[in-house]
Amino acid sequence: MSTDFLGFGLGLRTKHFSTILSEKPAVDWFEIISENYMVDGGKPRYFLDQIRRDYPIVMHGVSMSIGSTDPLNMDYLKGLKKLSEEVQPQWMSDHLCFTTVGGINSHDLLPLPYTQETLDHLTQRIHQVQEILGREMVFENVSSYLTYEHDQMQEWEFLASLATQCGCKFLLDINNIYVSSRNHGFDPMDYLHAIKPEWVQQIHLAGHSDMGTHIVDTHDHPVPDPVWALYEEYAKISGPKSTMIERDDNIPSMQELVEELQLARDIGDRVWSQEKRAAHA
Amino acid sequence: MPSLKDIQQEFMALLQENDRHLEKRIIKQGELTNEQRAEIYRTGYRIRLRGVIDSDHEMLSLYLGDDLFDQLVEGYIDNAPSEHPSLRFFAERLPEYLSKTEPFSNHPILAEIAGFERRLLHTFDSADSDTLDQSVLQQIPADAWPTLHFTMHPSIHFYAAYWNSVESWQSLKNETAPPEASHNEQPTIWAIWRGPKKVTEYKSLQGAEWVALQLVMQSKPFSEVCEALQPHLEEEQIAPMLFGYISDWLNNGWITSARG
Repeated sequence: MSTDFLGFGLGLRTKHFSTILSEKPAVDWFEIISENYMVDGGKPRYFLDQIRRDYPIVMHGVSMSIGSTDPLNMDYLKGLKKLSEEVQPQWMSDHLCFTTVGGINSHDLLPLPYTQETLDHLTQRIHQVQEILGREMVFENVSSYLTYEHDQMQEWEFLASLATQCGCKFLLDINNIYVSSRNHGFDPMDYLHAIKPEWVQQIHLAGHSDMGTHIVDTHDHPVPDPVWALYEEYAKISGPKSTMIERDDNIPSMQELVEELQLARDIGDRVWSQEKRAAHA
Repeated sequence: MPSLKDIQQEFMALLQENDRHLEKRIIKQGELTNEQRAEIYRTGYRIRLRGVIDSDHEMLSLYLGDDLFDQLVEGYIDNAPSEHPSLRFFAERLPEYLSKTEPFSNHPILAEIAGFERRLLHTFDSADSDTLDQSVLQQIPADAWPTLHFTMHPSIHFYAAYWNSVESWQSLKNETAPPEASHNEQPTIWAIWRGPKKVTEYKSLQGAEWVALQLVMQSKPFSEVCEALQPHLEEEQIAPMLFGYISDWLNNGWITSARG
């Protein structure tokens, strides 16, 4: 897996396919939703093949269900491996969650209990998946709306234990940390201070919907100020990390997203010295 | 302490059956009640699945109207949970559900409209292949034609409609009222394919063209296709007609190879 600092990227969305090819926007790399391209052909695959000639690609999945107690879906993993061989991504990620139960797919990133049983289960499954795929996987922290009574540790302690026990790397979603901190009443800086930079492969930034009593992780708004502030704080700790903005609904023009991405670049310029950038390149 | 498996089963029971057992596993925090926390997941589950049916079956939704479409969506989510990692396959069983579930099964055109919309989706992401153009017709020696086999583009799908379902779909797409549902003893065969510009296209096939296409799809040689057209066309019409079909198929981007 590449450990290079790729710079600042965006999620690849169908709305922007033609613009990317015709205007070659100032985006350092794109992240694809793996499942959207696990098809035989057609428009998305055609555009991906064109775009990957000009931009590094990272694959991000939503259906591995790494935390499920169901058996691993071998057909899915076979399809994912085939796609990775064709796309040759810089790295591949999915989520620390479960999506399937008894063969039924919730199509949601459901929260795992933070227990030793879950840690052991994840460790075994992550090793198994990495062996099948023939490459290391990166896993993202999810946002959540509930905490289990029988949790044995905080979420950030769970991630730290998983990194130590399993050796896997994380896609740190700063928005998810903020959303969960508001929904569960913890200090997001406690979380960020617990995540060692060497565990982090990539960072996600996104927007959400503030419902007053809680926050819903909708990815349909620009990145809000509190998330930018947390990103800047973690950037000071982490040094240069490949960072991207996720936008899945109310998707604006490519130009607007490039302008928003500039805010992340500006933070990088402020907090990462040339020496640090060189060290991570 | 509940096992990981217990928690996951309780979570799915919440999503699918509105079983509220999971609420007892949740820590009470802040302004939200445990019931509200569980409801965020249950509501999200149904909204997500509903969004897929809305997006995949836009014309069916217009044909049914809001109330019946709501009834369809709610019933389908409860009775046909997703078994595939990709949401694009969630509504795959909708035509079957419509054909077996009252009141929808009383109107068979509904399952046909849904079936047509599914074929459009299948075509959208079928495999790619390079296609031949008109110049190939000049390159084939005259003596090679009888043994010629064509390979067709993998995106071509066919759909047999016994009701005026596709015509109704077209009307709704054009923002006009659909015709009254009518049944035919013989189906209309529709070809659906992804054109050279990656756009999904469709057209109805006449009898002789459909006969020829079925044989071509089975890799039958040109001479056999000509013979099969004898009951449908005058002898002297067969070659020019077939030549015309092949020319159209090339224009449509249907033919990927021609080999003797």
